[in-house]
Amino acid sequence: MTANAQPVAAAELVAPPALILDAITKSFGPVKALKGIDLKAWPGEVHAIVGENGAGKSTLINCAAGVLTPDTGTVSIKGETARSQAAQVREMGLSVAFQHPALAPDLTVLENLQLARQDLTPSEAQELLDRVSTKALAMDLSTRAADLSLAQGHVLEIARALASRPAVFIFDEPTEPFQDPEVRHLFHLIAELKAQGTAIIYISHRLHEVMAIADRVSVLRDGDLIETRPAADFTPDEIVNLIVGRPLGQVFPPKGKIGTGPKLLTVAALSGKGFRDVSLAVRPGEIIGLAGVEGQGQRDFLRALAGINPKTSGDIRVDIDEPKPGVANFRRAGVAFVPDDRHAEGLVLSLTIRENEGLGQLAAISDHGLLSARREKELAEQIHADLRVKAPTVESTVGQLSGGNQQKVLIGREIAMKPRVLLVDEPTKGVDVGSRSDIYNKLREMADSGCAVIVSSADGVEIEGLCDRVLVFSRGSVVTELTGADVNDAKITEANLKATGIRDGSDADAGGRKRSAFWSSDQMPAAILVLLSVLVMGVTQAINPWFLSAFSLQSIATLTSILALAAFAQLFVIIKGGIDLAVGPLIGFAVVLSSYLLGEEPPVGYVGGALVVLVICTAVGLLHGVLVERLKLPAIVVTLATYTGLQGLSLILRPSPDGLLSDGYMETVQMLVGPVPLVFVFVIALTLGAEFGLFRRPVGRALRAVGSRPKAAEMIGLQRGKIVVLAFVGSGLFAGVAGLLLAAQVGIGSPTTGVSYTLMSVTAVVLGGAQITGGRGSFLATLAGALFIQSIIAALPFLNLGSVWQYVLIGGATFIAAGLFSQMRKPAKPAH
Amino acid sequence: MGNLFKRNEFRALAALILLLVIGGVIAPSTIRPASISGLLPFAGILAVASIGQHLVIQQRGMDISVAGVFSLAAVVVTAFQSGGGGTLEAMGLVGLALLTGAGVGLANGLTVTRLGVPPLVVTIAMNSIVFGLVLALSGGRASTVAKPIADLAASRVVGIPVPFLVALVLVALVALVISRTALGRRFSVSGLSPNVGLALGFRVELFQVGAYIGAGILFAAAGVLFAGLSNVPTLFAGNDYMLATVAAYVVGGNSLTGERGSVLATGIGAFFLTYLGQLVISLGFDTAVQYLIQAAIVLLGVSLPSIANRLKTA
Repeated sequence: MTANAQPVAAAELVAPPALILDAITKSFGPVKALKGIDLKAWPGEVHAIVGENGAGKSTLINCAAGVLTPDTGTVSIKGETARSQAAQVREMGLSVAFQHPALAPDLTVLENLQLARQDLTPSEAQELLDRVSTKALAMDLSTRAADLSLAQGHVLEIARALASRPAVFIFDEPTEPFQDPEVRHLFHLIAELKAQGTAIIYISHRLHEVMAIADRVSVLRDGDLIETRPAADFTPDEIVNLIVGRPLGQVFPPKGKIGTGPKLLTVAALSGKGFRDVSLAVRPGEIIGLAGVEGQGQRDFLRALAGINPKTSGDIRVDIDEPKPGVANFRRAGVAFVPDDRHAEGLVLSLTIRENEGLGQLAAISDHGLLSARREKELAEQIHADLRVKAPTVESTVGQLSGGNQQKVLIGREIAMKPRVLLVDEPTKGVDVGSRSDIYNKLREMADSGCAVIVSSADGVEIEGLCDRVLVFSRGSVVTELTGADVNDAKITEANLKATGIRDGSDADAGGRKRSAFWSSDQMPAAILVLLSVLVMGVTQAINPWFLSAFSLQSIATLTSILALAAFAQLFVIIKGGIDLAVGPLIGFAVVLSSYLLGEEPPVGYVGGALVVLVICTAVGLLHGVLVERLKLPAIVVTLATYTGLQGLSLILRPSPDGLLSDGYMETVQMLVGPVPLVFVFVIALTLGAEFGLFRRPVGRALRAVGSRPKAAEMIGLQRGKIVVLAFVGSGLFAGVAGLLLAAQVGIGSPTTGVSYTLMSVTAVVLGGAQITGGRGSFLATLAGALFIQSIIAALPFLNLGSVWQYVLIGGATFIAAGLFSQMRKPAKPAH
Repeated sequence: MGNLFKRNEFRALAALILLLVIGGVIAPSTIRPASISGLLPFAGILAVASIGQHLVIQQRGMDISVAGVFSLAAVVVTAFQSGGGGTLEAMGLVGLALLTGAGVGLANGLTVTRLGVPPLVVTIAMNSIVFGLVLALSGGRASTVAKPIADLAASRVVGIPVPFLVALVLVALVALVISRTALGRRFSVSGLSPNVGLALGFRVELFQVGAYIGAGILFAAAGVLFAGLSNVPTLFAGNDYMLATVAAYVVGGNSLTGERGSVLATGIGAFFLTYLGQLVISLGFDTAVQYLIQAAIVLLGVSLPSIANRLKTA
């Protein structure tokens, strides 16, 4: 045991560490995120890990949680070595409340908690939520996670991690969106857990919180664990210096000399989504900082200045010009913007440095729209040299650079347009110390040269070191303005804490956003579709009295059953977040196989023949699953290929319709139970069983969670891969059953039957209100969708409408339903 | 050399040459100038449609309605004739066919961008609607193409069949615009990373809708050329192009996971597939086998890079 891993309390000496990280290294391409981390956590202590953005904290947690596999080194939990699998790690007793909650947005609060503990009752769930937070952030158990506010999402995330009763509990920035009362409530919970002997790892950039609850503190910097000590042995200044790596003065350039010249940027009473009534005037030579707890409107304000978010009232003047709405106009007026998420919004990772730099000023490097390769190269090389980007040439792909160099490419692109206003959101997120210094100096240089520079940062130390003046945001307004010596981390934190009141509007909105249970339920479309089907039949009957008969109703029931099975095959894949184009041809293939195996003299008997068909179809499903999951191929492409391939196979086996099915088989399948076709009874029973499984069993919840947000499902230890393969296997099996029934209906091995079921299955699923991107769907509603389609098809001849109408109506119904549901479920905009 | 192989078009060309060598050995007749020149028009038609698919895939979509639009264009230039058969009327019909394609593309594009419905569902539904139109407008019967179109499709300019020439010009033009103009750069960024495009003030939605419109026009153009070449096009002629256009894109070595593709590679992929089809038939197999082989090639084409990646990281 090394000296600096000494536990604090004597009592802990007797217990072995609950978590041991031994020599963990992890690299992403050329970037060494972790350079050999040793860390121990004992039961009954709070071990805080501090470090700036990009120091490697998240990577370290993800390695411990089994989300990432370390390149070298081992993770042991309660003395046992853990393999890098989130599911196993969770079972061994480690759980993480992630900084970005790993929730399934389409599942309810209760269901999200049940993902962590299957048998959790509603009252237990409520109890968990109450332990985590105050009444101010209370939530209904039946609310979908997507409809929660940011802070509520964090409460749920912590409750989920708590639900699995961990021995090692990792909190990653748990208090980010919380106000003071919630923070105190949470600390109370942590004290309780500590008393119960839980080992707690607490990650936060709020130093005062860390000093308040930590027993020991470890400092992480650039992937190295610099120091571990009992918390009492650190002074706050010492920690700051350790975090930054050198005294602040060496990292940050000297503060600016504020000029008296004309205002560079004037913002008057600006309001927009997320912020209101903000005024600001930037003088030459100063850097303005925007600070505040996450989500207080500072980011929205900055984006409004960039022209990305529209303003609702107020004025923005660059010098004396007022830019017209639209990003392009703001850029033309000289407003440059560096977004906080450089991967999503800043850079195109698959393009070269040269091309990325060129994007900033396409007009300047082209003549009449034709790009000048030479001017683009010159521009890129000049930026490259100016910002000291470390890459061999400007032809390197941006995705291969380290975070710091990517950030330099991005800031360089914006600086090169010679802006009058430079807006930087999180200037050094995920950037190493060396590059940080370069970036700060560059920003200061810009301010000195007469450009208005505004920086938004969650890092108080960064604001303190870089900015001349700070606006502290709370609930969308500026609550404090700090200048001169007051610009420091402590004052910013103080201002944050003083900003009283309950959270911003989003919490109050949460109640209003809750739609009525009926409209938001997954079964709602079923009721509507059944009504519509009855309507279609009624109207047709009124026009043509020959329509309704026992025979036509039985025929509708039978065809509905077959289509429902096809649609269930589709639904499995759609819930997991894919699409299966091969459903139709696979059903057709099953028909062709049946014509060989289920004729008058079945080679392996009727039961054997049916089983063979099912096994082959299931195997096709398995093939899809393996290709999609193991080789990470898009489901569309895999099933588009088998869509054609299976048709080819059918045509080879039966170039023309041939091979009659035996009468005995057909009669058995077409049997009636009283007046109702047997298959319809069978499908109804199947629907109810499948619906129960989807909504009430762990495997169904897991399937929906995987479809809802695959990454989150994986992080919390659901076996995503297995579930995806299972969904495709289910799809193959159900297509097989549909094929067996269709064969009895068609009566002959025709190579082209079935193909149309691909579209019809998608239509039935879409009508049933399933979310095409995954996570939501219902077997019951899908069955109702199938009923609606078959009612229309059955009605057409009685209305003297040809097959043209079948194409148009089914296509049109898909269009309308998909568009309608996607509009209805658009995330509601918070009211302002 | 290593560097050259990183470029899709060179890899596609290498694969094509390899296939031609294999074909030359197992069925020497398939690489005679007469056979090659016989398949050029069909390669050209597939290439034209594939460029359309390429544009949509580059905007993170996929257009299943290629089948319907292709067939609809063929119906327009066959079933809509007045009987006079003049060149002017033929030109009008071609214009109408292209306009119809553009209209379908516009509807696809707007539904995808405005209503937020996934491209696949939009185009699969649109395909059904368009086939409904095909049946309604043709009365369910295939008819003969306007004569001037048949003449044009069968003619040659400096020895090159017109459909192939059209494909050459379009491939060159689209490749040039995408890689050498500011417009092309904005188009690429809108597809590769729409949020970056928005933050830079590019009109991302316009490019996305534009891709579907362009695709609709190109699918229709392919349908017109096909109608001209086959004289009496079957109503469901477009169905074969659903997978084939995606296959040409994939065989060209282009990635389906949101990376930049090469139009040139897609064009070469179209030629590859057409020659392969010819080869399969000349070896005595029928079209059913061709379907199977096409499916296998697509699966291989998308799996191989993924397998290679796994081996590299393992």
